[in-house]
Amino acid sequence: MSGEILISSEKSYSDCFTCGSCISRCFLAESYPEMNPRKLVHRLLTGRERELADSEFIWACTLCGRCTTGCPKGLEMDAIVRHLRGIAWQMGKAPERIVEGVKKALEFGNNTGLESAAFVDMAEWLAEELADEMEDLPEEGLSVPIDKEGADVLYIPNPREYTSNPNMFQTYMKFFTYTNTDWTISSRVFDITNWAYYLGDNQDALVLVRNLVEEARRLKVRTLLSTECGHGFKILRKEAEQWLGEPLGVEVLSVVELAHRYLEEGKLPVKPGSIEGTVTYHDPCNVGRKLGVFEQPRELIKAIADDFVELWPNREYSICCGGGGSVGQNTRMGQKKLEHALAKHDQIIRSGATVIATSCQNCLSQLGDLQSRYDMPLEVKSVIELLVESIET
Amino acid sequence: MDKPIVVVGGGIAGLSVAGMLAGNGMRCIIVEREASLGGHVRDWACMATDKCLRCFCCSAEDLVGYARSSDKIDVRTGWELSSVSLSSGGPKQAVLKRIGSAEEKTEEAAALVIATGFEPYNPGEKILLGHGRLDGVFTLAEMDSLLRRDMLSVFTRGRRGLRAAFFQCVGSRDANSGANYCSQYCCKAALRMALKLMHESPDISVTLFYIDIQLAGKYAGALLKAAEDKGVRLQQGVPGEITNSEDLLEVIVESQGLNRKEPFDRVILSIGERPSPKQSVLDQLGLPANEFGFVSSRDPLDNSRTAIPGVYVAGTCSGPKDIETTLEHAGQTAEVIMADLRKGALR
Repeated sequence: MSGEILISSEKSYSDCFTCGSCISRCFLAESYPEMNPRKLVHRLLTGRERELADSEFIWACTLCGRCTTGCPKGLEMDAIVRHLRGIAWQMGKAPERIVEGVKKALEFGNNTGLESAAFVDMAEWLAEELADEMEDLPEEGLSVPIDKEGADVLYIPNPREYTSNPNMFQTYMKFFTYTNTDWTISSRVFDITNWAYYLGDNQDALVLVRNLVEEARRLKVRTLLSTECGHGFKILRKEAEQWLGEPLGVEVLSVVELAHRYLEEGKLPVKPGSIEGTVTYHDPCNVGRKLGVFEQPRELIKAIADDFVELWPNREYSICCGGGGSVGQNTRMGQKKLEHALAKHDQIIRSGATVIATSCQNCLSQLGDLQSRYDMPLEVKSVIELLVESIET
Repeated sequence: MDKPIVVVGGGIAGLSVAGMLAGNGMRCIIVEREASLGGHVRDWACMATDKCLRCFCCSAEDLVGYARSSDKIDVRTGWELSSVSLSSGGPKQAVLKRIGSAEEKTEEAAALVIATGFEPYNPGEKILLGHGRLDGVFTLAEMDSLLRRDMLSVFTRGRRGLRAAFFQCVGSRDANSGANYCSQYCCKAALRMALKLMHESPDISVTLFYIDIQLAGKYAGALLKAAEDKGVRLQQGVPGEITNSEDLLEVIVESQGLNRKEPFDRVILSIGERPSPKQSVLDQLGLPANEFGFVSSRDPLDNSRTAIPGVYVAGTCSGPKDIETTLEHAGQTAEVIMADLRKGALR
């Protein structure tokens, strides 16, 4: 678990022939005029790893990978920056809050340090509250199946859903209820995030992934279902098998993909045209650029909203929200995540959208902060939130 | 020898092979799908400023004129090669087919020359460069075509003091877009075009973004020096994205150690050469493509013959070339064919 997983030999950064196309594609180019992806590679190659590991740039980078999308030599900047972060972490220079989060995730099964019993209480209380407020509850009612063996899906939330944004958790509960999904949550592992990945701490990243996979195996579920999360979903889909060195034995799906499957099967009780306003979609870097999940969220939105517009650029060249890759959780970065996101702000405003949907908790949080900081005239919603709204209209 | 040599492709490579063979008394048939001869070069412009810059575009006119007037060359425009039958000594019969009809004609052939040229890279694939979306973004080939038709005003739109930028290696040296090779013509062609534009409109300022300038040939160094003397700004690093605000094309580049946003009015993309779309007759012949998708020659030191006796290649169908090297290769192929004829290898 050292360098070889981070930077595979085929895509070695020593292949860089300084074409420079990455420079203009980095959303930090103007905020950090003295640094850019190409310089970073150059400094790596000239033995200045430690200097880089000491820089703010590697923590301002969101690992979004846009700079090296289409790289003529196939370099992957997110892997390179994670490699540098790993060095910083070993030097004791990683952001305290992220280091702390990893410790908690290893001990408690989530990065907030919430204990299992408290999590279960919280989930049950949220379900009760929801049952009181929902009028059109299906006959079988609403409950939170905890540690249910043999359920179809094991749903893994993002801690945001049971801390700052409990109504998001309720949104997913509603979604499962309306779609008659046979789901469960685990009382042991209830955090899709993997902050060790952010730190370039591969050992712990592997432990956290293994915890998720083993819990899915223990509960004998068919599908390990990720909430609308970027990096957590991406690691499970793209890295987990290689890291574990064996087949997962369980299907990895995001809740958006599940919704899309229902849509195709005609099992999604949404109402066409029920979402008003002009809706656009922000491609999260992990879900879109790195996993190629581009069309499913768009098809879902178009199924419920008549007026859909694209941001430009989009899909593999989507501009990063500016808050991913630990930047949003890194207290050292302060409000810089918003200052760095002006290109995102501008492209959203240019689109004329009144609703922006996305499918990653990190992007949702950042876009929400961006909206309130710059008083942008639009609402920020998750794709599943919009679907649930459509079902309820 | 009475059987003709069938040349597939009426661009400068095919015309040049046929011209040399005809000049030595041999009968040729040029089969060309398009309605006119000359290929891409027919659409390109002379780059002469106050002196010749050795682009060799003028060769096309001479070659076409010769092919049309020679009684040894039978020109079949609007025709394609449909199939070939082979014997042990080489091709025996070539079946030609008129495009868009069922009309076919069978010709006894002494030899077959593949001179099917290249396909220009479609820069629309690089969506962040905006070709086809942003009005001010052109390709080198489009610039040639405008100059050829005396339509430079489409580029300038009457504006004075234009800031133009060339982007080198668009779709070349780019494994990601399927072309991990240098297209070999664009550095020189872009420098000539820069000089030509500054000659035609002296108020244009030119920046040329490059990865590294790959120039070969004895006049190439002089070309670079002329560009520098005329004030062409050579800037290492090619922007990967053009954003537009109002009428400006903006790029972020690293210049003197700092990332800077620079505005331009026009961008010219130096697009690479790609292999022609695979032709069924090549499949039928079983001619392999090399690792870059171009037609393989027999071996690297025998790059006019193919693995099949009596079947030859000429020009860019066998790899990217500029006009000058295309003509050289065609000349070499014609000589190889004559040598094979002399020693009786072809019957």
